[in-house]
Amino acid sequence: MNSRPNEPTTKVSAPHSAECAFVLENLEGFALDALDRFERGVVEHHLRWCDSCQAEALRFERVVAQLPHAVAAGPSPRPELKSSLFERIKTDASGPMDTPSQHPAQPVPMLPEVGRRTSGWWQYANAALIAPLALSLVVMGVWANSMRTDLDQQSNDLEAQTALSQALASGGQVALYSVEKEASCPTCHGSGQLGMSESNDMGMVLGWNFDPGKRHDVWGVSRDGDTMKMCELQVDPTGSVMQMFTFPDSPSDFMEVYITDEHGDMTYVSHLAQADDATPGDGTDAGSPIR
Amino acid sequence: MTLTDSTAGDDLLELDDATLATRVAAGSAEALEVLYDRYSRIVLSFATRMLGDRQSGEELLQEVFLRAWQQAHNYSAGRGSFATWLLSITHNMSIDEIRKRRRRPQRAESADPVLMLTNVTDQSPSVEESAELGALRETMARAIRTLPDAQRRAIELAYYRGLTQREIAEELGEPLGTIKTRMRLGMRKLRDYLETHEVELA
Repeated sequence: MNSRPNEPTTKVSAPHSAECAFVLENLEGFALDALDRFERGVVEHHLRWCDSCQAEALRFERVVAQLPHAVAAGPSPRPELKSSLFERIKTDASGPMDTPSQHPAQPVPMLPEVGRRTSGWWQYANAALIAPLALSLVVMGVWANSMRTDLDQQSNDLEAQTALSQALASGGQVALYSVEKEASCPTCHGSGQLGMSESNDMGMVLGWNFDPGKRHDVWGVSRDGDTMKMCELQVDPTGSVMQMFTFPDSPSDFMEVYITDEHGDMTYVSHLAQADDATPGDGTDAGSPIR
Repeated sequence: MTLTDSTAGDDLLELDDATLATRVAAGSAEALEVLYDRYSRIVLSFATRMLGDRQSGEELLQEVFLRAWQQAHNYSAGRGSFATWLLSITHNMSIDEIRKRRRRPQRAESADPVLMLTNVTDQSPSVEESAELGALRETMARAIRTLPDAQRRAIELAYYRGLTQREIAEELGEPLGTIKTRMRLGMRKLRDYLETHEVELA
């Protein structure tokens, strides 16, 4: 892949309202820490910047925080437990920590703290993650469509939720590919996944550990060898990316999606298909989706 | 009885939780002792409930207060009561232990959580339970009783066993969507009940 970026063809920024719809449907599971890693990552990412969803999340976090109060206090602990504890405290060289940044934050309420039980969830992405990614893609696809209308924000949300329910009922078809680091950039350490939906020509990059100080652009290489810019990635300060874009043609017409750094050097790539392959997702060689 | 803070010289028993927590953060083990006397029973009960046996509960009790000692600076009274903070630490540490046990099959699993929330709310009020905690427990019990069994069970399996929705679906042999819906409806019902009854949700 030696071709270099041309002029942008499409740029779609973050899909707020439909993304909110997905997140709001999962806040209860999030508060109970019952989401899969991928789902939790999507919610955490969203809550970093969405104040309204954060407020809703806090309501559920507070409910969960009250659940232990359903338990009645029983008999007092044995006295030796107390003496043993305070012996330990007496000999605890560290004492109360005075450097909060080195330790977990206050557990209640947790927001906007993220990754409270498991860090590095992205490292475990696998085929089991496809369903929630599909969900995200469908949500975002609905959002993109809704952007073409003049409906107000509330209508968009309602439309997104309705369409989401319908899409889920029929089962969204999304191909998922890994985003692989290229050796050309020794300073980048990101990884991620690329999801594509044939039904609405939408793609989404989910990435982690990107350098937030650098500009990253997403490009697609068609089967004809044309290179087209899809979008500029919005990397948040933690290095995470969750970004939707629209393919200018059917995703099956693309062989490769890659990401360049600010110098135009290719840093990450997703191989979708060989030149003579059929559509993405047919299970062949470099074009094989993750699942 | 008086308990004097060796650094401040006042009677710690007269102080509220937030002030005591501040003293703990400043290094007062005496302040922690007062908090231990106030909350060790509820922490032990909850830890025992979570882990399924009293011995594990006692071990966790010590670890919880040790962590409270080390991380008292993280407690902020503006964000909730000290008891809630302490019980959240207990819950998080219990879930960590439960998940460790799941990776060590030779250890016994915790008690079957089926109707666990129901059972805890059936307990009689404990002796010397503070009026505040007692009232909160009563409200929580009523809130939980409003849930249909299926919704309560979904919440229990997540909260007491640390299972994800997908794992719950597998365990119960139900579609994932069904579990998500039950959890969503149950949690919303709890939230609405508690907010309506003006429970201090912080």
